[in-house]
Amino acid sequence: MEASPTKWLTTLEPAPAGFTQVLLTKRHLLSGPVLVLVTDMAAIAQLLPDYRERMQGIIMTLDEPMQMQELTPVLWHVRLALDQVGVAATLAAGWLGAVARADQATQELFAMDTKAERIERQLRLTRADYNDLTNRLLAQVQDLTVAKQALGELNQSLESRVNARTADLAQANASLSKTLDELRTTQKELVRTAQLAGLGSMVAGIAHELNTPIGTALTGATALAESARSIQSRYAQGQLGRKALDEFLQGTQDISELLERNLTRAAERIAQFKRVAVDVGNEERHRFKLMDVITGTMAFLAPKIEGTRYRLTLELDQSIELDSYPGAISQVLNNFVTNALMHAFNEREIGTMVLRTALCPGDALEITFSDDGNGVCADQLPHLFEPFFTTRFGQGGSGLGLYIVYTQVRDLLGGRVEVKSVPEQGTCFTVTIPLVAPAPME
Amino acid sequence: MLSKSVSTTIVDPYRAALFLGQSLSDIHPEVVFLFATVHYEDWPEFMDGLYDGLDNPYVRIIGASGDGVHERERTSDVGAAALGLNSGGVVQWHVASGDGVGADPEGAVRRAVEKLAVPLQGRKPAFYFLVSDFRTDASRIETVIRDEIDVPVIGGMAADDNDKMARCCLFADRVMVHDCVVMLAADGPLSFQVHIGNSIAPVGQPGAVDEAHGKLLSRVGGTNAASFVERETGKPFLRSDQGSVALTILNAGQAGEKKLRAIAQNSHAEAGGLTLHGGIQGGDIVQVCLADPKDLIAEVHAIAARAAASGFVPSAALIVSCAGRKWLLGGQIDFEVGAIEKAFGGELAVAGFPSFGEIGPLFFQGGYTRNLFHNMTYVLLLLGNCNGS
Repeated sequence: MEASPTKWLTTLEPAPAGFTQVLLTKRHLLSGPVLVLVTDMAAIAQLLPDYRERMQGIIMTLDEPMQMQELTPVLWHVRLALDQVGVAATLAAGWLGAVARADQATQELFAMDTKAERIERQLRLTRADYNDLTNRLLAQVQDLTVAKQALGELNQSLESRVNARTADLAQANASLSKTLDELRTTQKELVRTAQLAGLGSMVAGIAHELNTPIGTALTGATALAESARSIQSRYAQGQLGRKALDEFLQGTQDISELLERNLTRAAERIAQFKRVAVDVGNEERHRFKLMDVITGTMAFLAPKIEGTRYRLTLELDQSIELDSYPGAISQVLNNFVTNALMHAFNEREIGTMVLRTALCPGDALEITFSDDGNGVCADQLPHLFEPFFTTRFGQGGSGLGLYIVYTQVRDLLGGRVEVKSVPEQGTCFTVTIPLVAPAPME
Repeated sequence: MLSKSVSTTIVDPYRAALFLGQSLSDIHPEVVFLFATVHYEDWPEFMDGLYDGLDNPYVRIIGASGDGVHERERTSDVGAAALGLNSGGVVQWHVASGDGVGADPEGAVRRAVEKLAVPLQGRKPAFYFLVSDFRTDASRIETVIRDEIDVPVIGGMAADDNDKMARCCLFADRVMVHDCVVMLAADGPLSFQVHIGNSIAPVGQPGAVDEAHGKLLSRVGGTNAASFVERETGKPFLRSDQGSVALTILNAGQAGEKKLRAIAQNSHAEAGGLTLHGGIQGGDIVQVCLADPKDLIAEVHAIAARAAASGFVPSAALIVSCAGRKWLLGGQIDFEVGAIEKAFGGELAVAGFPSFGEIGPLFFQGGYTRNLFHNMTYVLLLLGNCNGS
């Protein structure tokens, strides 16, 4: 609670009952709800000109008639006669209490006003924050809308670009597929051509092998025919003597023997060629003796070797039989020899090739073909079986010889081929194939 | 030590102060800590009323007008509160002001200290109490009280949070001053404790101050200050965030020292700058802190409980509490007094004021750190006996 509202002050002397006589000061007037008894209002106004706004309580002045005036809700002015002071004073306690409560209400109202002012300011700031945030969010929404629109357009553009690019890629893919098919076809044709070139080489060998006995037989037959015509003419003229007949008969016997010998040789060659040529030309498997295939192959390879200073040594197991593809084996051997003659001895005076055959564990055949030639450098060795790999491109090398070896051994004979080489010492191919070839792949 | 606190919401300045003076006069106070709100525009009338009520022209007075008052009976946005102390002559109370704090904060403090040195006659006071005009760079006040004064300095910056700064003034005995610091030296064997709570949760990542001039923070962490705060908190700094968002300075100084700089306003928002309650320096490493009302309340109760548990028996208490906390709590800061009453009983004389920057040393390893300037802080000064114990 604030100060006690029981202050009854007066400037009158003697002080009426209940009043304290004081020399009135501002402190007295403003020390809370007070009851002040003075002769007139001038005494108050002189001390406190703005007493109406600042004082709380009751100011009693001596005047008649009795009159009561509310200066403010907390300050009253009572005019009364001196003999009425006692009566009025009896009301003062409750009256001043009411003034104190009114003053308290005024303080609370002021505090409320202040609080309202503070809240209003906080609301103003909050409103400003809200507006700022709203504007900020709107700007962000606008930015997002623009971005979304741009993204939509970009997506649309991207979609059409993707479609166009997809079509281009499909076309390019189709073109590439076509090109790849063509390349595969070309590769097959090249391989087939190389194989046919092998056949051509074989035919040349055949022709060379048959040429001598048949030529000799033809010469003999021609000489025999001439002798026969000469004897017939002499006989018709009656000039045929015994001596001439003996000579003719002897000559006929010699020529017949010559013819028989050479034609027999030709027949033997043809039989060999027939066996190999038929096998090389087709890929039918059957049971055969390896020795027959090698002998046949070597027969038509002989002319190639005979014109050189290089030799081929055979170290063969003559007992080996296979259920496989003799044409493929012949082609492999042909390509080994041809490849060696073309590459192995370049700029060498002499050279030796060795062909070995042997059985190896697992019912397999090992064919080893080696030379003591130039060898292959290490960086080229891994590429030796790749198609079209050649170091003599444009000089007769197709680059398919060893590739054909590789595919025939792997795909048809069901085996494997390996190569080792030491530069300046030579190269060695090792083919390992099963004695019974696998069933052909579908 | 005799002590008494009193408060009023009487609107008239003379009547209000007269009431305070009359109420305190029964303990014949030697010193009065006076805090009033800015509604009392006529300060000469107010001071007349106080001295009339005290009826003793020699009572030393220190205080300030500002944003509200704390007192045992009330925590209010309007009115006045006063704490009177009577040591029976054991403690001498010296009051002095240093002018020009706006332009020369260091000089203002030094001038006040020099004036106080005369009556101190070479003695160290138990502590200094300091109030200052808010319109200055308080971090520069800190440099003097931190580096040049080796006894605790407790106090704060006086201001009004309701746009009535022009009515603010400081009380130095009978004189009402502006643009000053006012300091009181407690010269005698007066025991006391200082408790400071400034737990405020850091958020986001720290950043180095790239550019700052006094209280204006321009750039942090490679971007402008406003963008830095937004980047680390996820929202822009708003007007209603003033005082409740702060930066903690991680490289504050010596062990145990901690500094907070509350963000006052974004008046330089166009350039992304932020004005702080206190200066900051380029190279400082700062981290944004957001105050949580629950934490603020809990910490005050914890401080009061801890002080009571220490066995210290206070005769009176002074509270200097950040106005930003008041803003954040919607003005509901009665608990700042209530926690003390709960800890020490309802008869303890208490007075205080919401400030715009707080001053005091921190408890650290059984002693106090150097004197520091804080923001978002609750400072409790407990005054004990006069026998030096």
